Amino acid sequence: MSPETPGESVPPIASTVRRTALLITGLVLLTACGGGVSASDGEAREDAAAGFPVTLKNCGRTVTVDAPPRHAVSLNQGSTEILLSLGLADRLAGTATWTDPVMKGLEKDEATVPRIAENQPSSEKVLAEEPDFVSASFESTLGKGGVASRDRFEELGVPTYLSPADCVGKDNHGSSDGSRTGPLTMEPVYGEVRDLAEVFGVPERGEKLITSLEDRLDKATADIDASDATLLYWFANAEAPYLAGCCGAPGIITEELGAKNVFDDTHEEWPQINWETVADRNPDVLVIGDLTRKSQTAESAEKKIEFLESDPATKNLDAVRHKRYVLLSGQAMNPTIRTVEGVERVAAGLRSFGLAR
Amino acid sequence: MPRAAAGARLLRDGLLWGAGAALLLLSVAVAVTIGPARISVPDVWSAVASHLGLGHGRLTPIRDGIIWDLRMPRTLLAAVCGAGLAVCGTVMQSLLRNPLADPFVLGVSSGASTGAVVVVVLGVGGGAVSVSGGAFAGALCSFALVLVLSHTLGGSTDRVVLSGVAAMQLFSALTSFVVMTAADAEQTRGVLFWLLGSLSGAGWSDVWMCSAVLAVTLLICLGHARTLDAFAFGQDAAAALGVHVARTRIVLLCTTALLTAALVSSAGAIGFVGLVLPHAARALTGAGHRRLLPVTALAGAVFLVWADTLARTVLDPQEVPVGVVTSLVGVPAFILVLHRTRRNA
Amino acid sequence: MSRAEGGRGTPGDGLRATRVSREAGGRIVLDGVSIAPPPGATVGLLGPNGSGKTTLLRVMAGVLAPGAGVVTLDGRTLAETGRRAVARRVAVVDQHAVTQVDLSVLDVVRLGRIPHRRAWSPSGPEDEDAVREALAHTGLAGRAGQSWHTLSGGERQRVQIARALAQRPRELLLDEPTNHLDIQHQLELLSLVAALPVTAVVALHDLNLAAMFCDRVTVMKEGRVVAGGTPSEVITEELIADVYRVRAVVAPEGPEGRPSVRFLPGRALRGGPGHDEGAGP
Repeated sequence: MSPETPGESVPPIASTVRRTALLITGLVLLTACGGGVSASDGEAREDAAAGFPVTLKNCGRTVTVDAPPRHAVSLNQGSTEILLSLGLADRLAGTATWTDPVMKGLEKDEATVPRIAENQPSSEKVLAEEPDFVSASFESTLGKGGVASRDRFEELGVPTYLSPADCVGKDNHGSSDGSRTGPLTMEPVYGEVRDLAEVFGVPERGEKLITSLEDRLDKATADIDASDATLLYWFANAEAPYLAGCCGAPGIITEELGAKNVFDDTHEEWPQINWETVADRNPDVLVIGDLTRKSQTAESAEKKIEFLESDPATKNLDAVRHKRYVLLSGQAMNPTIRTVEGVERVAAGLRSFGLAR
Repeated sequence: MPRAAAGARLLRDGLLWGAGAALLLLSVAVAVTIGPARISVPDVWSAVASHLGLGHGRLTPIRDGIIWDLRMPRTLLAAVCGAGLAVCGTVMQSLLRNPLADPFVLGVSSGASTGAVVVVVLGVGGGAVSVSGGAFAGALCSFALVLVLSHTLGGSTDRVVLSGVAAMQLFSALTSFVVMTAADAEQTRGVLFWLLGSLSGAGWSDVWMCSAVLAVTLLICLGHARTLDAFAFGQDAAAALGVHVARTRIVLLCTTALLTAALVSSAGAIGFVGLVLPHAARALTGAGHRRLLPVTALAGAVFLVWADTLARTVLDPQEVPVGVVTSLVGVPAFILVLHRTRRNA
Repeated sequence: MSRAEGGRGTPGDGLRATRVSREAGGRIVLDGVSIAPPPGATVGLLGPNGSGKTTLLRVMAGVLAPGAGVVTLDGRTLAETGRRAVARRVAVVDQHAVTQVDLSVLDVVRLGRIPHRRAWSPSGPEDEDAVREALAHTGLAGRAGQSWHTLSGGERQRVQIARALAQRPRELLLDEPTNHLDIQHQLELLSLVAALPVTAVVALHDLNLAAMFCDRVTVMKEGRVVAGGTPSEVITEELIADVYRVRAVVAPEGPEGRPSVRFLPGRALRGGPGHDEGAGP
């Protein structure tokens, strides 16, 4: 609206037009406000929507969000998939760092959100979208060598959120000395869902999502007794493979199924172990990461299986000879909502190999 | 008339300095307008002007933040780092009589890597120590080791270089060890990106801190300009010209190590600037350090401003660590400089 | 450090070494060496390789510290005088000057002015004059812009001498400056040095040159001074046999009746009385 010069009176017709325009704009805004708004619809136009400002503790910082974000940016796939599952595609201005194909069922929504970068974007690229909220799954994405620090975003008035599963020793779930002393559970993931739902003003959708995940878990683990089965999780790299230690996301899968991780004496999340040690421990089932990112050798499951069946150190493993493979996406091996998918697939695999009584 | 000739030379020098400073200012002004976010040139300059108290900006807070909190400190830090690394490289090459010396020859950058990695990966220091703080501490440890080692080995120039090599290997190995045994893939990637040299996290506090250290270092090195000239034929020749060799060596090594540590802990280990720029500057102005040092500083500043501009735009939307750009550009530049000086010899 | 015996001497004595000793790697390099070049004289320092000539020159320049004994400049020790003050008086030319830096002849000669300039003061007319004179004296005036790396060994030596001259020293220490020069330049250089109003101590290999140009000659063997005096007094067949282990004929046939040495080929002589047989220098 242009400022009026003092002393000039507005012609009567123009002022009527202006008032009408305001009214129409207001109505349009009202109807544009999506579902999940509280009963006081008339207040939806104002910034102070019910329940806001939201304040939460996240990884040792206090995050305050004044109003439900309208153009948020999600910097990692895990966080993006939670937001898309909460039906928030229309509130996302951009996404980044894609390591796997989008979770099934979210493809249509994801196609409506522009990808800022396939890998890690520069800080300016993210800020050019003028986000009002930024979320990430990895601490390193919001740290040195990442996109930008949380402090930097806050200085510019953008609240940030980090997945609690990746706070090492800095939040209520993590241990205080910097590595996971106890195994991860789905709790931090549910916490992340709840937090994000609260921030976006859609808490009931969050509860719905959590309930559906819990149901899926119950179904997958019902009547399974896998206490005799030993598992090995292979994420990437053939020469010096990244295998799962006790307590990362694969630990959730193992724990839910009551099985054993062949490397559960290792507290590092993804240590690089050699194949001879693997042969020594002779796991029953090999859970293999099927990755589409080309930055290391042996990415796709196909390539990994090829390697296992040809390499002299591995081809005589029990699991290889009996072809007891379970293929998981990379996201399922991270602490995300797709870990549930991981539980489902490993359970199905164990049943099919006859290792689940 | 000697006085007139001196006057003419002073005027010519003044013009050259003016031109150099103008080039630097122009580079900064242009670099600030370049970036992935689409902001028009007049908007950029009006935003800068508004922060300097001249007029009002027309941008939203975030876009204004992109200019004043991202691009400005980053470009200025690039200039400061470029100048600082080039000056350190010049001093190292003259003091250690080694044309392949660079600021990292005393193991400062390797120590910084170890410090950074220990903070990020092992979580040493809790949340109280930042990555930069850890890097700085690591750099100082490494340098202290070099001093102790070279002193026990006799203290001469080649002993210093050898001690530096030993420290570099030791701390690089430590870094690798920590990364291999304790880091996960994401942490490793993040830290390594930074270690290759990256100005992406630059803030105003980095700019002030590094500028202050650079100013002090430049003053000290300029004060030792003639002394550095005297080292051309070795430390005994310098001693015979009245130079206090041991004291000079300690002062200059400590000063440059401190500046290098400050720069590395702010922006990672940006390679090649400290190696190539001194040679390029020598090809321009000759070997006398009174002119060489300021020329090297200016050349380094301009070079790194443009290298960083390239680093943040060439692979849009991603960023290339600036250390990669300086090496890729630096290698052909180095070959060119060597070729030119070989033809003169 | 012990004081010189008999007092510190008086101003005007110039550069003096008094009972200087130095050890290196368990070996005695200098053993109680005293040398007191008369101001203005040209003193030749003779002796076979390893006799300690280079070490003595470096100790006298203040570059190396003596283990025992003292070096004084006008009665004060070098430490008392201060490095820069010493460098304004004493200039040194080494046997080999090596550098990687791309310097011009002018750059190298200008280095000689460093002891005279404080850190922040610019060069003045006095510096320009000193440099110009030094270049003229050594015949390099036309070559000021030439790169050091394009010079021959002999030319480099002359540039180093020009640099030493630019220091406007009163004492000049030269370590075998004629090594790389051809005969003409050897003679020119030593005439120049002898004609300069400085006290010069020149380590030389060539006995004839020493005889021709030096006012006094000091002979060293195995870290000790074994003879000192005028060339006629010192350069004798016996001394040559004793110190250099060769046979020679010495006759006063040089310019101004100075000795002229003619070496005789043949087997090396064995050591004289009191020396071990076959012991090397």
